[in-house]
Amino acid sequence: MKIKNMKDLDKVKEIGMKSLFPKGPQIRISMSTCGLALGADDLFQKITREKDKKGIKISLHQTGCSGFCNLEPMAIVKLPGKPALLYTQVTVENVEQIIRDIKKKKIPQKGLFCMIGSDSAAAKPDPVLNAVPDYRDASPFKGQHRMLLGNCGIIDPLSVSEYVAMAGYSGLFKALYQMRPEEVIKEVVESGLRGRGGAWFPTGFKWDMASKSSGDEKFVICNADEGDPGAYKDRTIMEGNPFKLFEGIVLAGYAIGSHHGIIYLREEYHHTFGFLSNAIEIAKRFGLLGKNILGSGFNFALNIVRGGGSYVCGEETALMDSLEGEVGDPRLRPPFPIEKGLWARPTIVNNVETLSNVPLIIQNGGKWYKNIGTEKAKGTKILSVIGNVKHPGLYEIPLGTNLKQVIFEMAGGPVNGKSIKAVQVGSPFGTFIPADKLNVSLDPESLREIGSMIGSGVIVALDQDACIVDILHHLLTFFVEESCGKCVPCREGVSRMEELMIEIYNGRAGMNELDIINELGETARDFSLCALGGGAPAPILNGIKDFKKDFEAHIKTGKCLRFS
Amino acid sequence: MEKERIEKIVNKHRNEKSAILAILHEVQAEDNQLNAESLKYIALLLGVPYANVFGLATFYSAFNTEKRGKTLVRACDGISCHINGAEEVIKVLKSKLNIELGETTWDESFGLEKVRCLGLCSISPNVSFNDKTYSNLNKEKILEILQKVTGDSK
Amino acid sequence: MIQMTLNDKEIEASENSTILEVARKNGIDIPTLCYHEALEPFGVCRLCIVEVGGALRKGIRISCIQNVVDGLIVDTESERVKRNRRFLFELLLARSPDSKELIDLAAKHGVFESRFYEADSDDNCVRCGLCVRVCRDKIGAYALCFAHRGYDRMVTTDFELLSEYCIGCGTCAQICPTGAIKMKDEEGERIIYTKSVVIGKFELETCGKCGMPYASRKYLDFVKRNSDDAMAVSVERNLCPTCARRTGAINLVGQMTL
Repeated sequence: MKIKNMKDLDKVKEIGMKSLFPKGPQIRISMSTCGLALGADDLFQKITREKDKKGIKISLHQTGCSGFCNLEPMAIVKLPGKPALLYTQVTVENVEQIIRDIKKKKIPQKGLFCMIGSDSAAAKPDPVLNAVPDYRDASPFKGQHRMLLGNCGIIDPLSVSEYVAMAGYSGLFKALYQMRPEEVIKEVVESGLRGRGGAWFPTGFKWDMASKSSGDEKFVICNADEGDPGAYKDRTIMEGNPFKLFEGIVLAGYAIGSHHGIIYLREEYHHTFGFLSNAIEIAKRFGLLGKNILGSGFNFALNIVRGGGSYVCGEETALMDSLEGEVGDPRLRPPFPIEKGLWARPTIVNNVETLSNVPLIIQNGGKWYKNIGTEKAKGTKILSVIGNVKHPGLYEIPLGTNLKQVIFEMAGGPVNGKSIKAVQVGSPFGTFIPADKLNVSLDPESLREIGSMIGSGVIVALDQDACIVDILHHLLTFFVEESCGKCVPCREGVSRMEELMIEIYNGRAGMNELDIINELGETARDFSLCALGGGAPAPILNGIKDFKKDFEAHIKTGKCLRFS
Repeated sequence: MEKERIEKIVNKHRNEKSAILAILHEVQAEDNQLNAESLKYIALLLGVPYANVFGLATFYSAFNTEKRGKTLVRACDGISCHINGAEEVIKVLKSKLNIELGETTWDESFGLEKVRCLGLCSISPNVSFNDKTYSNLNKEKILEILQKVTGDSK
Repeated sequence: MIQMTLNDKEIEASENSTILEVARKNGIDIPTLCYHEALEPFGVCRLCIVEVGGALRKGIRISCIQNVVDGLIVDTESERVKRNRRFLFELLLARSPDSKELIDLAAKHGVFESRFYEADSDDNCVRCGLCVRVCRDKIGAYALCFAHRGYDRMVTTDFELLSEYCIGCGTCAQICPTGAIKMKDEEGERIIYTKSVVIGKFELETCGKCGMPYASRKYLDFVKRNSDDAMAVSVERNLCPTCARRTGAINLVGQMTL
């Protein structure tokens, strides 16, 4: 059905509520890329077979990823009158017991992790659940502020009605029926939202300029070329709550006067491609994309384009070249995309996470949004905390949260009683913050003060066994492989840096070469055409400066601390 | 690939030049390669110079101008996989398949590639075999998977 | 006109011109490889870096792209510029140690050695893209492209084979700043080639008057197709540039090439 007015939206909402709070028992299986990698497919099939065999009616749904892939496969079991319960690392072997329990109206115990929505009206307290925490109190969810990820892993990502039941599309409805485009922009400006792809450019300002650029056509590009190794927040949003992203994209289109959006998705996300294409079709059927959106008369078409496996294409001008069917080389600026972007038309390029914030801002107001975060950086940021910590995963935190708290409290600190050596914030371009300096606020300004950056939010924790030379070597290889080769400092300079680093790694070079790496780094940093060559030297120069011991070990003995 | 197949794919994209990446993806998915013949025909249909198409096909790492293995093994070497031992996993893959990164086995059954991040960083290291991904790998696990996949019990 | 300072000298310059254009007009030598008057700026060799201040935020600019503004202060030979330009020259020399043109240019700017010489490198190409761009944007032949990426990026033809698109005009060889593309006319045959690929190979048409081999058929057809009637007529007459000039015909070749 097409949603054409408030009545329709309410009707869909009602369907969604029924689906989220069913009368009978329900199981939800997390079936994102990560769940599938860990056997969610088999689990789903096994549950289907088992419930049919036992002849009980259980409604079975899919959900997305909650950001903690290491807890997959996850399942949510909802029994009538009970809160929804989250189970982790559910295996095919558990299934028979789960189904037996459900049949007896008993709460399955194995793998029970936490409750979701224990305060909802439909749920009655249960003595069995006394010791089970609510998910807001359960590590690794504890301390998070899950505005964007809140629905991920809970709602069926392909169910429009469940998203609507979670207040989805109320922002777009409000905008299309009650707000003029400039009012939408005003709210976004007011909110203080800044680009989450790594550049932290004020979103409202970009939209304002694009709305004032003239062109027969304008474009909204959603940058889903999530290329920073270690990042998977965009994938999680796209697979966990795609309609929120679509809502944000349509809002952007309405605000700047564009009727055409494109999601540029990185090639490596195979499953996501099919999944999103499917979600777009569903949104069209509900009248949430295409002609006459929500019955308002506003038209907006959304396409999805797969990249070709090139990191540089995450850079907005290279991305546009790639969309035009060219090799993804960064363009010279000016002109800026807001004046002359895709096919020389005014274009805004925004990251998945950025756009997903917009429905919340329109729904609750810019004033509400700017209460979250620091003075200059508003809202939340999804961090991808990886490396040597107990609970690697996605942490959505208010900007300004302390890094130490994230590493040691939320992510559980190092494993096996080891100690943290350093943390690279904003990988791959961020610097390594030594263990004794982790007491820093996670926001672009505070990090810039100590010479680092938050980037797209990849946080790599390294413990005492890690070797910085090894990590720098790894990073340099990445930069060299992903350089487009257009400008000399990046193509030739960074390649030489890598070469020299390999020599140092193998103990065949000394301090002299280290000095040359430093100098090359400065040239690449200051003279490269785009942010890849310009950004690559930062972690290298910083690593050399702050972790001399690691270098000495390699230079003197040719041995890597990592393997000692 | 036969010309009719290519025509069908190009037509599906309404002969639009900007859809060339999608067209290359689809032709490669069917033919497991983008050989000179196919690329030239695509160029011809789209009215794009050969040189442009060749530039594209060699720039993007997802495209292969030579025949690639029926099963494409993509070993992730993102930062998280690296920290958690991707090197070991890749070493096993290379030695068991007896090929280097970027190569294809003699019988064209397997191709081996390195990718930078499959986006499964909290269950690393990861390796995908076509569309099936395996996670939390180590030396033993990848050996087991290889045996299962190759049906080889050596 | 605007007022600006160029290497401590007050000068007047016309707006809408780049720093590079203004500097060259004032007799200041800024090295470039990827720049050519006839083409859009590409900004990749980075040799033309200058330091600016005054009306623009203090820092480094690429002079082939940056336009001059009133009150601009430019230093084309600051310590920072010289140090980094040296690095860029060294990086280029490392890969193209045999290019006489590059060696001369580097020497002119005080760089005689590289710390990064690559073993056995005989690649004269510096990936400036002049050839690819002139072939595409000026000639319209599309015979050349950049293939591969990063350090492996290279100028080549489609599929690294003799190009079906090349018309044998030789502009690429003429515009190449480092002698990486060569053109040879021998025994009535023209070959255009790099160290790794033969771009074009043509039998040359002989001049209807003096009998000298002078241009490929494909090129003459191309000129005929892409020019007005007067030109087409003189192509019909089949005259080499010298004879054409002598007979007062329009100097076709001179106009088509750069």
